Amino acid sequence: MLAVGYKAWLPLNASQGGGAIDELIVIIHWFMAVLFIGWGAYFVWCLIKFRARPGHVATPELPKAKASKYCEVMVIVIEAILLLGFSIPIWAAMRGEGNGPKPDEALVVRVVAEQFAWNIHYPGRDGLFGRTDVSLVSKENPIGLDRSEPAAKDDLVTINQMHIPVNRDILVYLSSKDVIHNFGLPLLRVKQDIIPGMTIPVWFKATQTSNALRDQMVENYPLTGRAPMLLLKYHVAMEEYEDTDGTVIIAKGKVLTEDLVADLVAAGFETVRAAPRVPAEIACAQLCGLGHYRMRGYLTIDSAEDFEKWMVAEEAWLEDEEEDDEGY
Amino acid sequence: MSIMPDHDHHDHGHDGHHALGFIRTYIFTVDHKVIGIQYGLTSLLFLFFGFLLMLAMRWQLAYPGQPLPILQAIFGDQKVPGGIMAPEFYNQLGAMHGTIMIFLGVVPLGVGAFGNFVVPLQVGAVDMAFPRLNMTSYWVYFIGGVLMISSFFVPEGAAQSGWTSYPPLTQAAPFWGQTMWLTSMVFLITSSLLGSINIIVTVVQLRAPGLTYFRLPFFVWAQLITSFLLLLAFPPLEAAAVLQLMDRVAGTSFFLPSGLVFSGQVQDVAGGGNPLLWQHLFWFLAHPEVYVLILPGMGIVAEIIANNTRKPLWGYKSLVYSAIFLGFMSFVVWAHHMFITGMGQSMSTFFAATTMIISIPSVVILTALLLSLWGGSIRFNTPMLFALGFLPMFAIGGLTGLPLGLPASDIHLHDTYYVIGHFHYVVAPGSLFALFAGIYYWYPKATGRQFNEFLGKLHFWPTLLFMNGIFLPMLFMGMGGVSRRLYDQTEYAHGQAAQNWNVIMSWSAWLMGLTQLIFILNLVLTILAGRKVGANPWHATTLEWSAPSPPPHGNFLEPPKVYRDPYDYDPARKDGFIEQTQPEPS
Repeated sequence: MLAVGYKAWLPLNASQGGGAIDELIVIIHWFMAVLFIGWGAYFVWCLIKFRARPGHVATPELPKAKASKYCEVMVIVIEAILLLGFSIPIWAAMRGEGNGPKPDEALVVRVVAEQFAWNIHYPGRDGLFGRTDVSLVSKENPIGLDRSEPAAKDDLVTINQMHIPVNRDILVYLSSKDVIHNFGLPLLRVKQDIIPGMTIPVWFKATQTSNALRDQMVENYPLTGRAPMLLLKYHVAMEEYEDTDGTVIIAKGKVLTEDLVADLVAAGFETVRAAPRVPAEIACAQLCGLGHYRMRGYLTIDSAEDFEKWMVAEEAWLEDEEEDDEGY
Repeated sequence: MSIMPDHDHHDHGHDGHHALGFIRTYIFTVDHKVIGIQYGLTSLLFLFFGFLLMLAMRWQLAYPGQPLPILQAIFGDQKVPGGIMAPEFYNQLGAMHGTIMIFLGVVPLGVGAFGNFVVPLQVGAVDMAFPRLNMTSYWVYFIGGVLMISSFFVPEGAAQSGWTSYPPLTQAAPFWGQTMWLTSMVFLITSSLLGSINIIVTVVQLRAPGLTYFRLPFFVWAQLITSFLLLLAFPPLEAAAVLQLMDRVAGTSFFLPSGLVFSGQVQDVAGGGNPLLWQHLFWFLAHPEVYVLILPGMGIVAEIIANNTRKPLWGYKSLVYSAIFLGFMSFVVWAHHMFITGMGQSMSTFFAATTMIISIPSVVILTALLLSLWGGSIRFNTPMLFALGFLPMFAIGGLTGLPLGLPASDIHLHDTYYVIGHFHYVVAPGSLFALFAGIYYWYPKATGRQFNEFLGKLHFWPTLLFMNGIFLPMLFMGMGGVSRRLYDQTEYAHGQAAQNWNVIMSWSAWLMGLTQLIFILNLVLTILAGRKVGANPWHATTLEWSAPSPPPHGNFLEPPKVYRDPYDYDPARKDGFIEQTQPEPS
């Protein structure tokens, strides 16, 4: 059973730049298919036509094979087109030094990776990042933010929860505390190594909200079998399910837990229509230790209003924290 | 023109000399054929061991979190608590699988075994240019191999940072495993350096009279170019391994930047180093290394195709020039493994261009081998089946390199299962098929006995099927974005989609493992009771088939002289061929 959002082919594309990458991948694969089928057909034909059998001898003369020279030239020309016409322009747009959005046009976020979590650092309303220092790093202050500094007063720091507004340029500065990680956003076709000792920028623009993505990723997940929770770790029910006497087992949009799955099975359901609660995820794409497989971050793509609401809620939480004089 | 090696008559004369005893004949031997077999047996054992590690990993991948008691029984409670392998143990298996297959398996088999056994015979020499150096290079390999395997038994286990060993992860990882990995690599690299010098000098200096460069079998060209790659590309990695060792034991910071915090502890390192320096030094070897993995295989396939089509290879000169160009280009593509490290436009364009260019000689070589089938009279014996199987499998491997070699498409595919599928297609049903083909082809020469053809075919067909069962789904998984080196792919929503594929892939792997037992059975039965054969059971043209099967110490009954091209197959002649040593005009 394959999830709709993440198929065993290209996943949904939720970014502005991703379409060009997908187009290039598809074109290359057509090219590969033509070559493979061409070679393959010729190969099979040879094996049949020139198999050893009574009365058949080899002809020692070598074929002229002009066709293969033309093919070779075509291959070179097509590769040149793919490189010059597609890959170089895409790379320039997505990676070219100075081709990213200007910091004052984009939402700028710092992501500080560590074994095995993503620290997301927002500059707050003042647009300035507070100073960070390795000497201030502690369990409560994973990025070593100097809260006493004015610029740091309104900074927001979350662990693994990244919110971005849709249709807005996002400029992310990546850094790592320990080993090489990779900031991967599969649905946005973003992938960037984070090399300790360097700060590396990456930019993108999301074109669909999490809610829109979730609606496209609804699938029937099996409730029976070896381990249904294996595939339902992050999922919410996308329909309401009632049992035989009308009581609601699980409402639409609620998280599926092991108990709720057991209740559904007890009520006779064999599948559940579900989708990931947070469809877009941050995936670490470079081996970073024993927790590499579970270094999952949650990327929520909000509408502009929802993003504002989220910011306000985070700021309120920050104020409460300051008043309590706990945390950082 | 050739120069006979300067033999000390005390250690081996050629006629009725004193017997050397068991140790000098079979253990500390200087005879290239025995050394070749030593390399062959050792590397096959390591290959099988590396394969077993993967079979264990495939349980965790297919059935994450499900206990398998036998794993706990073998590996112990710390590595496999409650029958479920620990994530760090999974990473150890992964790192060691790659390392063992490449450095203890395919290279020693392709170069150490086949290079040593066949090259002196095919150039008409009595032995390699430096027989004692040859013996040394085998034993240094052996020590390196033992060290590598022993690293499983040290505190906290073997290296677990990938075969690529990127710092600073290596620094954060446990001390002993990675340190032993680095030490072992120093031995393994040294062995390859010694061996490569030997092959180069042998080919340059010891060719029989009349054996000009363009009469060399393509296999010898492949080995010659491979040896240049080893000689020139390995030293930076050996140096880098020493530098990383110094970072671990001597407080240096070649690869460690300042301000590192491991598990909340600020690291007391000198700082100022750069992890990217390791990557450049590593990939400077590791890219030519992949051509070291494939070139001997291409050489083997060429020999077997010529022999079993009963006609000369198409485009011998194109093959040779392409292989030389391939070898040269392999030194200037390495950073295509590093596109995603933060590379800008100029670097990525340069390496993308060289990577596109290097695809051309590969295409030429594949096309030449395919065109060699035209007009032949194709015999489908076991070596030929494996050689033919190599062609489409290598094609898939090579073609899937294209989206990886273009930086923009690499953004999505980097470090995903697409990469694993790509390189395994080239090395597993690619190189390994070619190496199997070579074992079946030269087994009669080495042992004087013919293997069982039915068992050979029974080995081939299921292996071909299962290879595709394992690696084809990986291309789709990678397309879906599933990262590599994940202990449990279901922890990512985008990885969950792949779970059904994982079950298919694991069963294919386990069944393929069972199939290899047929191969082992065939090898053993042949030694014990195989039909005896003469010098040239395949009716082949190259020089090794003029020597007896197996060749005695000194190889040839009389010093060979070469009069013709390597693949003079002609249906008008008796048995359809003319040996290179035959002076008659064609």
